[in-house]
Amino acid sequence: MTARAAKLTDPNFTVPRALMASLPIVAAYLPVAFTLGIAAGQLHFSIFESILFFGGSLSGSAQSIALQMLRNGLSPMTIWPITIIVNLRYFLMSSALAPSLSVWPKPLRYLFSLFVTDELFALHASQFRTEVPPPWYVFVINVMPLIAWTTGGVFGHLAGNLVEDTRLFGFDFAVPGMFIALVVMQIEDKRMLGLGVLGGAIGLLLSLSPLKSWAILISGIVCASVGTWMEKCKTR
Amino acid sequence: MQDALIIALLMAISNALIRMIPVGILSGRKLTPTMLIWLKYVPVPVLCAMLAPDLLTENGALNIHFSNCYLWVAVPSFLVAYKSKNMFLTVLFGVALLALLRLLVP
Repeated sequence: MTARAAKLTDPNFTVPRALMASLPIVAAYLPVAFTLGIAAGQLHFSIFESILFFGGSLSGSAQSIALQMLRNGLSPMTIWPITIIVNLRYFLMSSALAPSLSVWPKPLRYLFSLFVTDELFALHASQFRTEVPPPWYVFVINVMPLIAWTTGGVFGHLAGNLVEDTRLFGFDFAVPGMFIALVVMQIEDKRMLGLGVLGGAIGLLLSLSPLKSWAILISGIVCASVGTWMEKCKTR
Repeated sequence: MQDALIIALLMAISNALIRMIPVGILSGRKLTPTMLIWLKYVPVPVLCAMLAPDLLTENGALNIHFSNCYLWVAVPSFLVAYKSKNMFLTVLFGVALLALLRLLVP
C-alpha cells in the first residue's frame, strides 16, 4: 500500500475536518467506555487506576474481558495472556498500515501505531489508499477517540460509585451486552458461527471444571486452530 | 485494588508493543498466510468462551432455568444486535430489559 503523501500545509486538511472525521468514533466510544467505567468502579478501581486502564489501553474487547475476569476473581497473570491474544489483531492492522507511513519519520510511525484500533484502522486504511494526510491531521483524528475513551471511562467510574445498587438498573449486563454485539458483528459466515458455538461450549465446560482459569485461552487456541485447519482443507 | 493497577500496567505495555512491533520490525515484510488465517479465528471463539459461562452459569453451576435473568435477556439482545449491528443499542436494550425484569419480578 503506497500512496501520495499530502503536504503539511495542504488546504484540504483542516482541524474541523479532522474533528468531523473522528466524530462517529468518539460517539461510539463514549457510551461503551462509560459502561466499562461503571464496571471498573464496581471493582473498586481508584481514579488513577481507571485513568491508567482506559488511557493506557485503547481496546474495548480486551478491556471488557479483563474487567469480567477480574470480577470472576482471576489473577492479572491469568488475564494478561488472554488480552494479548485478543489484541493480536492490532499486530495485523499495524502491519497493514505501516507501508503507507514510510514517508513519515520513524518516531511518528511508532506514535501512530499506538492509536490503531478497529475503527481507526478502518478509517485510515480507507484514507491511505489514495493519500496519506499530514501527520498533524492524522493525530487530531487519533487523539479525539482516546480522549473520549478515557473521559467516558472515568465518568462511568464516578457514576458507578454514586449508584449504590447498579444491579437494580441492569448495568451489570453492560459487558455481556457488549460481548453479544461484538460476537454478532464479527460472525461473517457459517464457519465463524460454528467456531463461536464451539468456543462457547469449550468455555462453558472448562469454566465448570478445575481448568476454569484456562478456559478462554484453551478455547481461543483450539478454535483458531480448528478454523485454520478447516480453511486449509477447503483450499486444498 | 492492587490487581487493577497490575493489569492496567501490563495491558498498557502489551498494547503498545503489539501495535509498535510491526512498525519497527515487520514493516515491509508479510506474515505467513497460515498465521493470518489463525489470527482471524481468535476473537469470536474467545468472546463466546467468555459469554457462555456468563449467560449459562450462576454461582459456579449450570443454570438454564427461568430464574436466570441473564439468559432470558440475552436471547432478545442477540436479535437486537443482529438486526441493528449497533453495539450501543444492544447494550442499552439489554441493560433496560434486565432492569425492567428485576423491577417486575423481584
